[in-house]
Amino acid sequence: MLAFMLRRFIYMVVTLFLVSILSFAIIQLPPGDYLSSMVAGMSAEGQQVDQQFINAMRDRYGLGDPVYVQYWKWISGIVLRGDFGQSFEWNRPVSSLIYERMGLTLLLSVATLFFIWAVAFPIGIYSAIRKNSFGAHLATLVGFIGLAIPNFLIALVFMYLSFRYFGQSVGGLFSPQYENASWSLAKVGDLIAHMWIPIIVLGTAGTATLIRIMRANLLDELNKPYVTTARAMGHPEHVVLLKYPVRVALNPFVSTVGWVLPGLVSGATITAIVLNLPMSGPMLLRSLLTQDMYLAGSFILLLSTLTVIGTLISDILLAWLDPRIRYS
Amino acid sequence: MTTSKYLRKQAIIGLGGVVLTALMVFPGAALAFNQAPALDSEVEAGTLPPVDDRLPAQPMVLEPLDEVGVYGGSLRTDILGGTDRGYGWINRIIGYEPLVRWAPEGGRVIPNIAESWEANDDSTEFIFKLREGLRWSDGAPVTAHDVTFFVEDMAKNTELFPGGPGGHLEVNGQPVVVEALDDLTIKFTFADPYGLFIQQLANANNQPAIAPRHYGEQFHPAYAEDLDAKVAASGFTSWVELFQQKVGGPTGNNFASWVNPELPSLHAWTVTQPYDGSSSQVVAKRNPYYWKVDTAENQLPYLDEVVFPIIGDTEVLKLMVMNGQIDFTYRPQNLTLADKAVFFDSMEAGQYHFIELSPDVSATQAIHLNLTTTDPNRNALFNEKDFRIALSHAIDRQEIIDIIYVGQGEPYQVAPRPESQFYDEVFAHQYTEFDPDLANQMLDDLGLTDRNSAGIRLFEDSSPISIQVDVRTDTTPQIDGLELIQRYWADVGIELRINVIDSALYRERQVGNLFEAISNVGAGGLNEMLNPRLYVPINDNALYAVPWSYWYNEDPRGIEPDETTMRQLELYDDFLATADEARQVELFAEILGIARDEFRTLGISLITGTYAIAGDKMGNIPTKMIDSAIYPTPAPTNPSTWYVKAQ
Repeated sequence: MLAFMLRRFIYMVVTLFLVSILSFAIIQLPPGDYLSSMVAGMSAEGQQVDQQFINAMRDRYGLGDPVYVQYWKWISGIVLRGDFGQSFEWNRPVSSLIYERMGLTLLLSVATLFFIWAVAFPIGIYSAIRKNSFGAHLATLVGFIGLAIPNFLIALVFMYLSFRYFGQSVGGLFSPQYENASWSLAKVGDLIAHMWIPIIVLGTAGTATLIRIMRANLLDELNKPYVTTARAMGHPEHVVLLKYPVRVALNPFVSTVGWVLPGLVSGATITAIVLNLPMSGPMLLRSLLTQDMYLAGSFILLLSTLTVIGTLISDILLAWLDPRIRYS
Repeated sequence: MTTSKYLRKQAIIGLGGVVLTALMVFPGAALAFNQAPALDSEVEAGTLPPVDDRLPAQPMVLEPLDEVGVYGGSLRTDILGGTDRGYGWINRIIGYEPLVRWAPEGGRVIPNIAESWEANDDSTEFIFKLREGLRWSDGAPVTAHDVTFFVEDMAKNTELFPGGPGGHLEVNGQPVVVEALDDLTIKFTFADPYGLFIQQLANANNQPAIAPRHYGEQFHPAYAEDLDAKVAASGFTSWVELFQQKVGGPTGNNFASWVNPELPSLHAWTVTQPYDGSSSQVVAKRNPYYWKVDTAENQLPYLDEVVFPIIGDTEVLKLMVMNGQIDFTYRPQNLTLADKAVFFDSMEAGQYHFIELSPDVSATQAIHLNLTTTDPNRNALFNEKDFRIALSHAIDRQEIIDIIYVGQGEPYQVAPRPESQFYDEVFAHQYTEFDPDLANQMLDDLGLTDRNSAGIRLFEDSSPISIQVDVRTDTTPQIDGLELIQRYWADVGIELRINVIDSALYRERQVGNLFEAISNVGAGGLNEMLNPRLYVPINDNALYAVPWSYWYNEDPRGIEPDETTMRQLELYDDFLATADEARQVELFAEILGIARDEFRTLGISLITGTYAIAGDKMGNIPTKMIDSAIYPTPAPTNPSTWYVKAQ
C-alpha cells in the first residue's frame, strides 16, 4: 500500500511539472498579450495610445522577454517564494485576488455537492429497486431534462421567474443592502435566501449524472448471488440493500471525487457569470480574455493541481476500498 | 426642502430682528449654505468643519435641470464585467472634474476648477485662475502647485508617462511648460500656437491636469524619503507601479481614484469600495468638500452614494433594468435597438423610462478598405476611387436599415451629422443609392471583366477578387451587416470574407497593418475637430491607412501618403496652430472637403434611436443627452444635481 502511494505521488509531481509548462504555454497561445487587450480597451473608451507608451509598458511588464524567461520568472516565484506574481489588470498579488473569492466559491460548491448527493443518492437507489415504476421514470425524465439544458439557460429562466413572480433582486448572492455589510444573522439569512438558485442550477446536471450511475451500478449488483444469500439469511430488506450492494455501487462516487475538487474552484464559470456570483470562475474567464497572464496561469495551475491531487485521493481511497485495484 | 434648511427658516422667523441685525453687521452670514443631513452629526461632533468653511469663496453654482432636489438616497448604475475595463464608465458618472469642462448642452467650454482663464493672441500662453478656498476631499486646499505637480512632476516624467504627457499637454512634440504665478494662478506656455487647447482640456479622453501634491509627493522620487522601503513594503517592483496605483498614471483617466480610496479627489463622490477585483460592486460616497452648490445654496451632490454593481453578463443587466434594480444605465453598445421593444414592455413594472441619445458617431458601420495593404493586387485596386464607389453603390443600405436597425436611420456615409456645423449634404449621401447595374458597369470599366465559375471577378493574375473584412466579436450588428453586404457584393462579382476576431487581435492586426479591410462604427459625426481621424490620418485609428498616420507622427513604420493626403495633413497642422476660431472652422471645412472628394471609407447608415435608461424616481436627469466619449456622457449634465424624488 505504501509503495503504491509513493509511486502515485511521484507520478503526480511529474504531471504537475508538465502541467505548469502547459498552462503557461496555453496562455501564450492567443495572439497579442495583456497590453494589446489593454490598449484595445483604452481605445474603446476613446483614448489615443501611442507606440512609445506601449513599448515602455511592454518592457515594464517583461512581456518582451522570451517565453522561457517569463516562465522561469513565474514558476521560480511560485516554487521558491510561494509568490504567484502580480495581476496586470488589478495591480495586485494574484494570490490575494484568488483567495478573496475562495470562501464563497467553496461554500457554494460544497453546498452544491451535498445537494447533489442528497438528491441523487436516494433517487438512484429508488429507481434501481423500483425499476420501471412511474416514480423511477419521472425521476429519469427530470434528471435528463436537467442534464440536457445548459446550466446558464436554467439560470436565466430561474432569474426571470424569480424577478417576474417573486420580485426578488436578480443576480448576486446578496441583496444590495447586504453586499458590503459586515456579517450578521440577517446577512446569513439573505445569503441563504439567494443561494437556492445557484445550488439548484449548478446541481441539476450533476444530480442527473449521479442518479444514472447509481442506478446502473446498483442494478448490476442486485442480481448477484450474495444479495440473494443475504436475503435468504432473513435480513430485513433495507439492511440487505444498504449493507451490501449499495456499498459496492459507491465506487463511482469515490472515483469522481477527483473531478469534484477542481470544480469547487472553477465554480461553474458560465453559470456564475450569468448569476453574477462573486466566485472565482468569472475572474478566471476575465483574466483569460484580457490575457492577464500571471493571474490566468496561476488559476489554471491551481485547477490542474487540484485535479491531480483529487485523482490521487480517489486512487488511494479506491485502493483502500477495493483491494483488486491495489494489486493489479 | 431639506430638514436643516427648514429648521433654519423656522429660526429666522423666530428670531426675527436679531437675525436681521446680525445680517447687517456680518453680511457674510447671509451666504450660509446648507448641507446634507447625513453630515450634520459629523459637524456637530467637530470632526468636520461647518459647510461654509468647506466650500470655496465662490462655489460653482449649478442650476438643477428641473427643480432643486432633496438630499439622500443612492444611484445604482452598472459596470459590465468581461473585457469592459470599467474605469472609463466610472469616470463618466462620478469623475470628470477637469480645469474646464463642457457645458451641459455641449459644444461650449465653461469654467470648472478654474473659475476663469485668458489666452494670448497667438494661443501660446494660457493663464488660469483657480477658485479660492477650493478643497480636496480630505480638506487640504487646492492650489496652483497641484497643477504643476501633475504636469511637471507626473506627466513630464518619462518613467511614469513613457509615451509623453499626452496630446493635450504638448504641441508638435514639445511639452507645455507650466508655472504657478501665485497660489491660485497658473500659466501654461506652449512652444507653438495651440488653438484647441481649451477644448482639449475639457475633452474627457485627456487627463485632468491636476493631482493632489500634498498626497502624491510621498510616492514621488523627487520628494519622497525612503521611497525604496515604501515600494518594497507594498509588494510592487518599482516606484512607477506604486505611484500609478496610489496617485495615477497614463493607463486610464483618474483610474487611481477608483482603486485607491485614500487618494484625495475633487469628485462629488469618492470611492469607498474600490474597483480592484475584490468585490462584486464599487461604491462611492458623498465628498463633504464638494465645491458646487445649487441655486438654493444647497451643497451638492444630493445623492449620498453611487453604487456600481459589477455585472458579468449583458442579459443580466437587462433583467436588472427590467426589475427596477438600476437607476441609470448608459450602454448604447450593449443595449441595442432590438432590445428597446423588450424594455418597453416592462417599463411600467420596472418604473423606468428611456433617455434619447444623440451620438457623436456618424455611421452605424464603416468599412475601410486598407489603402496601404501590402498585397500589390489589392493595394492597386483599393486605391481606385471608382472601385470604392462601385462597392458603395452595390450595397442595399435600406435593406440593412430595415433588417438590422429596425428601420431607424437613413443611408449615410462617414460624414458630419445633420445637426453638425460641418454638415455637408453631398458628403453625407454621396454614392449611397443602391444601384447594382451602375456598380457592375463601373467594375467592368475598371477592366475587371474576367470572372471565375462562381461569378467572382478576377485580378490580372487570375486570382479571385476577395476582400477579408476584420470585425470584432462584440459588435453583433456589424457582423450581421457584413453578412448582408457579402451577398450584395457577390452579386457584383466581389467576394467578401468575414473575419470575426477578438478585440485584442483586432487591435494587433490594425496597428500592424495586417488587414485587408476593417469594420467599425463611423466616428466624427459631431466633435469632428477633436476627433478627425476618419477624415485625416492623424493617429493609428485612421483605419483606411494606419501607416499614413505613422508617417505623420514620424514613426519608422510609416508609409508616405499620396499628395492630396499630404496637403490635407499640412492643412491640419495649420488648423492646429490657428488661434482664431473662424479661421479654424474654415481650415477644417477644407480638410473635410478633401475627405469627401477622396471618399476613403464606406459608411452604411446614420445612427439614430440609441438610448439610455433612467429610473422614474430619479429627478433632474435630462430626457435627451449627447452620446460621446469626448463629452463624457452623462458627466456634463451634472449627476451631482440628480436626486431621488420623494415616493
